[in-house]
Amino acid sequence: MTQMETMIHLPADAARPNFMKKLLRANSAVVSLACLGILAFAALFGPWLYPHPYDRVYRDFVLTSPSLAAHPTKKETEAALADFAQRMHVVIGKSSVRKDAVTIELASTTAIDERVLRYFAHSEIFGAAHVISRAEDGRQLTVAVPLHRLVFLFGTDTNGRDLLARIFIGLRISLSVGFLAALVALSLGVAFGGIAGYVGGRLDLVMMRLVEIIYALPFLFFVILLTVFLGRSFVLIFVAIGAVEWLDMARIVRGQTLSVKRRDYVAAAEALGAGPATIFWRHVLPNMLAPITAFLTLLVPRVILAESFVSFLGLGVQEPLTSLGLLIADGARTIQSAPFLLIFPALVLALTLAALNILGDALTRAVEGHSQ
Amino acid sequence: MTLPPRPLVTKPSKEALLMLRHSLARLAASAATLFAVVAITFFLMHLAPGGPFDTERAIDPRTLQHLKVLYGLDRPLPQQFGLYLWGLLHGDLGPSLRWRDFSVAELFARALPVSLTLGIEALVVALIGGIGLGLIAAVRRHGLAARAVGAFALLAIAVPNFVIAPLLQLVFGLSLRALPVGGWNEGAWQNQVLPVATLAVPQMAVIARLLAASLGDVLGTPSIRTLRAFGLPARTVYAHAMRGAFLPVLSYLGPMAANLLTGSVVVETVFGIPGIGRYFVTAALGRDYTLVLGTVIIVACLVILFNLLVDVLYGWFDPRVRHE
Repeated sequence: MTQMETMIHLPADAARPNFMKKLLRANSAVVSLACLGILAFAALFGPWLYPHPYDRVYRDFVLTSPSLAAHPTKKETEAALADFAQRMHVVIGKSSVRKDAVTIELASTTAIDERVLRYFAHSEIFGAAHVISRAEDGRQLTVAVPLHRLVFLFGTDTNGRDLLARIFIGLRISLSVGFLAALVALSLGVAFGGIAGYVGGRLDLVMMRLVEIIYALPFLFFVILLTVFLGRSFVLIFVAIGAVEWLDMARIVRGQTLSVKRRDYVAAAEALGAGPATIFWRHVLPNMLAPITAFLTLLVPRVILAESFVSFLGLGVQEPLTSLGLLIADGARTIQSAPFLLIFPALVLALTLAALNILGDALTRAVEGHSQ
Repeated sequence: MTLPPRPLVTKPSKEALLMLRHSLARLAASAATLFAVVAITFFLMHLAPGGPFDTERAIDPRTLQHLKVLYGLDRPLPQQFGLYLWGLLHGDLGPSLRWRDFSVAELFARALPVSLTLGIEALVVALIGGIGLGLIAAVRRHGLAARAVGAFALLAIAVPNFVIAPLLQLVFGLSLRALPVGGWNEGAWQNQVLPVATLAVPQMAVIARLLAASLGDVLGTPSIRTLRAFGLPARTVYAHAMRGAFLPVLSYLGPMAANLLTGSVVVETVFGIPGIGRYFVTAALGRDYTLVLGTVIIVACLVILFNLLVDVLYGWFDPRVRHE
């Protein structure tokens, strides 16, 4: 039996390197793989490596434009200083702004209570101030205040949160929802389609009828209902989307099963006394891995798109967590004042979807060429 | 010698009988599907937590009971289902539970024409543009046009409509001030341009891509080579090839048309258009049972109808299907 099995699997195994070679020969596939690698790296490690936390609110930096320059700028520093002077009831004399610190002369009609200097430590722009010199019985102070240098590469959103940090976390959510939901769809589709195709007959008829009925239900309705039932948590979103997107997978698996189960090696395994579950798992499934993989690669972008769509309508993950769809929805709301809030997340989403689609197409073509 | 008398009524051919039987079977199956869809929606909706009369403040229990009795929600669920079906068979979709004083039919009478108008326009634009682009890409297979169509198709897949819609608003509405940003304005054409473009452009790209790929395949088949070898003019050759190449487009067209006609939630939300797409989310979230059921029924009917239509057209395009 074992010998027979190795014999049966030999041709497929022997052909595999050839298949990979064919795939890698397609330039577009390589490029999109590299793109996906970068995106996956950004999603995995971006939030760790990047200095801004995704949910940190910088109240002083609401809707900053994207730039490479560090904040606060000289102008912003001076504005903040003027604001502080008013709150501390002091007059600012000379101040010199250097790259990472400011030296300020403070003056007042009465002695300055040094506790007011705590204002500086509480702000996002300045660090804790320390007094360099006192004069005129404490009515004049010279203090040095360190400056926090903050870079907002992609700018900040309406709440003053760094957009790039939010894109990282949104990409992480979108990609993981994409893969997990595709996995849910895969398991459901393979189980359903496999049973329908392998058992056949009346059961097949009933099961495919069911698929057809679910097809006629609007996708959105299903997702809304599932979120209503299951609540709005991360886990349940991908379960809900996976539970909707498995239909095509079931059809493909059923079709493949129908064609594979008539092969001689299935008959041989049957003759040797293998049970239906064993045959399906060991002989049928491995022989349709290629088309399933190809379809799965195309399913992932569809799922990501579905998740973005659901998030766009406000039914997806909840703040302060975010996903690309939610970021795009927020960006669409401020499109006139801050179009970059829409454009950056949209670009990242577009790149992800394009790379996955190109890879999926290349895989499909390789599979088709392979089977010919 | 006399001929046998001709029968007064010509006996229908065997093929026609088969066709009739097939169609009737399909129709019966569709009715069953529709029934299943209604049943699933009804029970899922009613089993979901929350109810149509939930408000921010707790409602007086006596008032709540009164409302429930008024709308028949106090009865056992199977009885409610029976009553709903009975109403449905008489063409009554029931009263809306959230939009007081409106029946679902009244809401649809206002919203459906709007969605249908946009949908049909988008469908026509997508078909014309998609077929044109697909043809160009297939005829100049290795040229710049084919690459451009490929890039366009990829872009349409990668940039979803909820990105396109606000971008169009920004460019044409806010920057150029050429077209209104949103609203319906009794269907003025200016208000329709951006929504139709948002709906049509992605579908146009998909159609172009599908057609270019399948036309490329068909043009390589021996039958087309034979036509070319006979020296037929290119136009005739392409006309023959189109008939075979259109099949994948046709099967995509069914669900696409249903989707377009029932209104896109995104497009109607972003552009503030009073179609049925936007009822969907609000109704489902507000547990407006009858409105959700009505919307689902419309969508399901259109999906089923277009699938039937596609099947019939399939037979017309491809004789092999007819004879099976």
